[in-house]
Amino acid sequence: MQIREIHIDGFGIFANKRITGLAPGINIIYGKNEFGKTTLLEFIRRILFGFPTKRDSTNLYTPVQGGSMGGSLKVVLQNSEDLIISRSPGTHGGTVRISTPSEVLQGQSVLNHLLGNASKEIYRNIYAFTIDELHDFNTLSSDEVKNRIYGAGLGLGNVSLKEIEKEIETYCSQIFRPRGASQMGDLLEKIKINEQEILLAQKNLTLFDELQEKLGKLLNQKLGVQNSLEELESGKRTLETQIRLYEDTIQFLEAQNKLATLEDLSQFPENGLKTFESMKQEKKNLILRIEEEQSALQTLKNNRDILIVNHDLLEQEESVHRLQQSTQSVLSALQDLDRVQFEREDIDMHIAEEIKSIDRDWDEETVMAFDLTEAEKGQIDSFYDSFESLRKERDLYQDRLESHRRMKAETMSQGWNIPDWLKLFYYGFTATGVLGMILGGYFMNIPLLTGALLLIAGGIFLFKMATKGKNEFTKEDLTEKNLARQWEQKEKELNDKFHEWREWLKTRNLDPSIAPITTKNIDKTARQVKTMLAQRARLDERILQMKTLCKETRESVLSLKPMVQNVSFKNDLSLNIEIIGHAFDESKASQEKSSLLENQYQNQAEKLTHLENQLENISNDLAQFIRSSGAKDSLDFLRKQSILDVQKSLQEKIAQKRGIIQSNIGLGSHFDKFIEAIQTAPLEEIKQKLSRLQVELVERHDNREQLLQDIGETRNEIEKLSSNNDLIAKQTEVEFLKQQLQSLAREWAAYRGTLVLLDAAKQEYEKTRQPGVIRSAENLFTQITGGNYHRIIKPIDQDEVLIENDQHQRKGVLEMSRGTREQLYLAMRFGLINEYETRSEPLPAVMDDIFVNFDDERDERIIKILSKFSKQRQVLVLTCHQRSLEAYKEIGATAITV
Amino acid sequence: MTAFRFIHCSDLHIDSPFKGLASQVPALTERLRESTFRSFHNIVKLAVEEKVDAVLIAGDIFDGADRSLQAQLKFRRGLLELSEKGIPSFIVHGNHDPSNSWSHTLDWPESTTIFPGNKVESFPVTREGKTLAWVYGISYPQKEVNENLALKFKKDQKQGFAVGLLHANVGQQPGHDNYAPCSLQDLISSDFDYWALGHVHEFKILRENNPCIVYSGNTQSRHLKETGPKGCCLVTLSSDAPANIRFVATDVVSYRSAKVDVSGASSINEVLLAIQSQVEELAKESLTREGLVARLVLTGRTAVHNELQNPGATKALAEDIHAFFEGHSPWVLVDLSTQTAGTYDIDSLKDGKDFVADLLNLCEDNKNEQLQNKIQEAMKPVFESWAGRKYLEDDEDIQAIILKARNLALDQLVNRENP
Repeated sequence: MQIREIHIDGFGIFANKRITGLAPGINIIYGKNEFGKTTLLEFIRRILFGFPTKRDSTNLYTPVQGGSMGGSLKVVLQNSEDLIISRSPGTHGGTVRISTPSEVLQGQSVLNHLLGNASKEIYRNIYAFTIDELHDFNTLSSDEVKNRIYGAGLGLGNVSLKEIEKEIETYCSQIFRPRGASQMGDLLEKIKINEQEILLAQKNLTLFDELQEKLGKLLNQKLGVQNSLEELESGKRTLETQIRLYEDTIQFLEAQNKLATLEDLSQFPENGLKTFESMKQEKKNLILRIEEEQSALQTLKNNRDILIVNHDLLEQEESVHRLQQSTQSVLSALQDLDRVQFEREDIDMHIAEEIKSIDRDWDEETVMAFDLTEAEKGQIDSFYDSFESLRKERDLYQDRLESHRRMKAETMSQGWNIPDWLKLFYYGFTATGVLGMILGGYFMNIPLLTGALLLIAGGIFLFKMATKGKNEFTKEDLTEKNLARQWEQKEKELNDKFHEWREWLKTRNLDPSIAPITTKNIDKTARQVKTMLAQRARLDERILQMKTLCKETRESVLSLKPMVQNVSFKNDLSLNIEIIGHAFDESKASQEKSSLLENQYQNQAEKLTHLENQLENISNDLAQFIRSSGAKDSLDFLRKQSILDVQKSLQEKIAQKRGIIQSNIGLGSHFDKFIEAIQTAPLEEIKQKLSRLQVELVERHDNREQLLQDIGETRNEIEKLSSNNDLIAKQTEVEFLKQQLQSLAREWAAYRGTLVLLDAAKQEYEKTRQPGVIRSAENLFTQITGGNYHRIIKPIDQDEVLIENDQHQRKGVLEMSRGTREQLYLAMRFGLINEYETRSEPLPAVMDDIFVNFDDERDERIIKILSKFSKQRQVLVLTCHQRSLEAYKEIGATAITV
Repeated sequence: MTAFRFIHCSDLHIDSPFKGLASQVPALTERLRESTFRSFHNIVKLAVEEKVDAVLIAGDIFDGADRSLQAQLKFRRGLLELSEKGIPSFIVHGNHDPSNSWSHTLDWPESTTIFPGNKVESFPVTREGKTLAWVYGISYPQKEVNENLALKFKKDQKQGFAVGLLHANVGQQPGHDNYAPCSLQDLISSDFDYWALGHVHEFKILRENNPCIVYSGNTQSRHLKETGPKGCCLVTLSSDAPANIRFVATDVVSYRSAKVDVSGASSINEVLLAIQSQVEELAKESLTREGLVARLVLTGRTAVHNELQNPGATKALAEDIHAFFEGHSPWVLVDLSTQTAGTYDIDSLKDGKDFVADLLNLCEDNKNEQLQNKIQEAMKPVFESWAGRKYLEDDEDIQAIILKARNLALDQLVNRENP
């Protein structure tokens, strides 16, 4: 690509500026100081690769003299194609248009393709640069220089390979370092710690077995100790028993010995003393009893003797009884007599009155004589009923007769009394009717016929009515006659009945004028009178009885008076009866008591005799018993008895002690051995033995306690081991850690591999591409330096660039003079451009006064080199030096003054 | 008809830890630890429920090298339970639990028979006074047994079935140490009815009948290489019917690994959803288990590659997944790692003429021994000379490292340039 024209619409100090006439080969653009060299350089760079944004913090070259920002370049491609590249502000570096003769294209990518895909960085660093940019390298470290120079060739833009490598190196060393802290190192530490713990946990198995064995041994020991403890305990118990029973055993033995020395009393009766005592007691009791009974006998005798009995009175028992029985009736007779007499008088008066109420002429006898049978009463009732019925019938007929007569009178006054001439009417009606019918029939006249029929009917009706009334009145007269006759007949029957009644009364001596109902009342009164008469008779009888009773009683009392004290006529009759009764009862009681006492006395006497017999018997039995026991007498018996008692108590003691010992020791040989042991060993010796044994026991107990404790601890440890899950936990942990370590190692390997790869790629690049750059640069550098230096060396294992002079002396960049260094960099740029353009479209190189530091000699050489360099590509040299302008003109450069 | 019904299991590896998990969820750690024992306990329960005549355990009951007392106590607890139900148990020691690694003071239940290590012995299994079978067996006296133990089995009892209990590598099964090596023919020619084998961690019927030769496999997987259901064999030998061998899964935790392709994911949330659905799928396949341990590797080129590279990114994702599946049945434990790559166009980058192109072309060259050697060399400080190297598995090949390194380099070189 070659630039033909530069059109600036607005850019920095330029406004609507056109630079034309740019030709292939070298172009020298001259202007005074501050004419805008750098601005022009920047314009070309930005038209090709885009405007920066404000964020890029670089000079934006905003137009200061008006004109819109941007402009265009008119260029010719290697294939002679003409293009206009114009750019105006916009996003992503501005809007770029590429106008060909046939079309207008747009977009940076199209332009990039035309630029041979050269990157912005390559162009900026290698093709178009200012003296300042060349100087800039001066201040940089040699590494950076290299990376910048290679960076362009690497095609990595502003990516710093070194930085990348450094970053990766940092990752790597964070992950792993042979020494010092790293992630893998930390993990390894953790794994090791865990493995230590695992080792410890694994020992648990051995430990478990050891503990199990230990436990087995301990349990065996415990069994041994347990057995010996039991033995000792048993020995201790034996000795303790010996000590405890020592006293009892000694007593047992002593009692046995003593018993052996006592008299043999096997003949002496069993329970002899008891029998002896009881017999003696019985005898004594009998004596006492006899004494008591005798005194009782005496008492009875005395009592019997002092008792008095009224025998006379007792002989009058019947009279007394009678008297006592009549007491109540006498008392009531005395009380009732007066009242009964009054009652009688009262009744008497009533009787007289009642009789008078019947008839003045009647007396008690008449009344008594008057009596009506039931038949007669029936007759009276029948009379009464007949009178009543007859009277009613008579009254009925009389009433009917009278009512008939009244009716008759009324009827007579209201009835039909038809005159005789009127009779002609119905005959007339009838006759006219018949005539009418005949006429009607004859003339067949229906109204006439009907009228004739009505006339006949009226005639018949009138006739009927007249005859009917006449008949009824005739009948009425017959009824009246009949009723009058019946009434008279009933009147007669009634009178006959009266007559009959009067006759009936006469036969009975009764007043013939009285009515039947009155007769019945007389009968009732007579009956009442009769009752009262009977009552009076009864009262009379009772009065008599009472009087008789009182008289008899008084007589009886009188007869008994001499036999009973306190009886007096002054006294009331009843009181006397009571006194007599009392005296009689007393005498009776005394008599009974006396006979009872007599009986008792007899019995007592008999009983006494019996007791005295018993006493004699028992005295004999006692004497017999003493003799049978082998004793001489009572005293001897008692002596023997006391010996027997001693024997018994000894035997009891022996039995008791034996019981005590046997209950502790047991029977048979155990018992015998025990007795023997006690007999042979004194108490002290036993006690000494026991204390020795106790000491031993305490030791054994301690021993056992210790064993139990050990067993418990061992069991606990076993239990702890059994429930310990550390091992699997740690193992799992280690597996996790290992896996993490593995992941890290892989990561590290990848990063480390990346470093190796980058390095290898760099070497490859150096080997295959860099030598071209270096060779080309070397050639140029030799020319520039006039053969002072003829080699540029880039050691493969060093990041430095070295130069070698004709004496084969090598110099590092830092050792070079500023000018030499600038020439080296320039040479290397040209070399890079040569190398780059072997695979790409040549681009115009733009240099802004870069030769100011070169001496004249070298300047001359550089111009020659440039002239040669511009054969392959367009070169634009910007300068403000007249000298340079002239020098370039001399080699045929196109000069353009701005 | 006489029938002998028993459970055949082996390789319980009680209390041996899960391997290959880098992330822990404290709430699940305990369950994970208990899983081997729980599986054995499931076998005990099965034995009781099925009222089997015997339980045969063909070695490797625990890892002897672990010297775990707990494992032995737990095992004993299970045997006691069987003994209480009147079920006899027969045990041989394997290479992982040779006789000398067992506690010699633990008292085993009366109905437990542990075969000696010096010679093959036989013990009868009886039911109601009638001998159902004779179980022959021999234990490993020490870890390494290289002689052919199968040849020592001689059937000397006429009555009942003859069952051989042996921990051995039959026919050089790959992936397992070649202990007590023997051939299938050695077993066939023994005139036994059933060979209850242990050692191989996979349920395998080597021969269906006359005799049955069976590996019951281990009872609970503990690392990613052990896939599929784990459990025991419920076997019925009948005098007039072919043997019935039923595999019964008893494991409680399913251990699965999977790659989760997150190529399409344009946000972390989409990555999370992809992981969730992957876990759900795995959980569905593990429905019968109590738990699922899923080891997931995120793969593919994704726009969120850089985000996923952030320290703590995978941890946060795992936490989200754990929160999402909290209370889920089976419970879920995920172990996440990433092998994703950025979305850069490697082919066009490769065609460039710059450093990146050089780097990519360098990686493409499989025969670049120099690079491989350099990387090999660079690995040495960790994998060859570091004190902790014994804990590391050097299981990644150089190409894998180069691939990862290439991706990392691209992350740095390309992605930085065009953020």
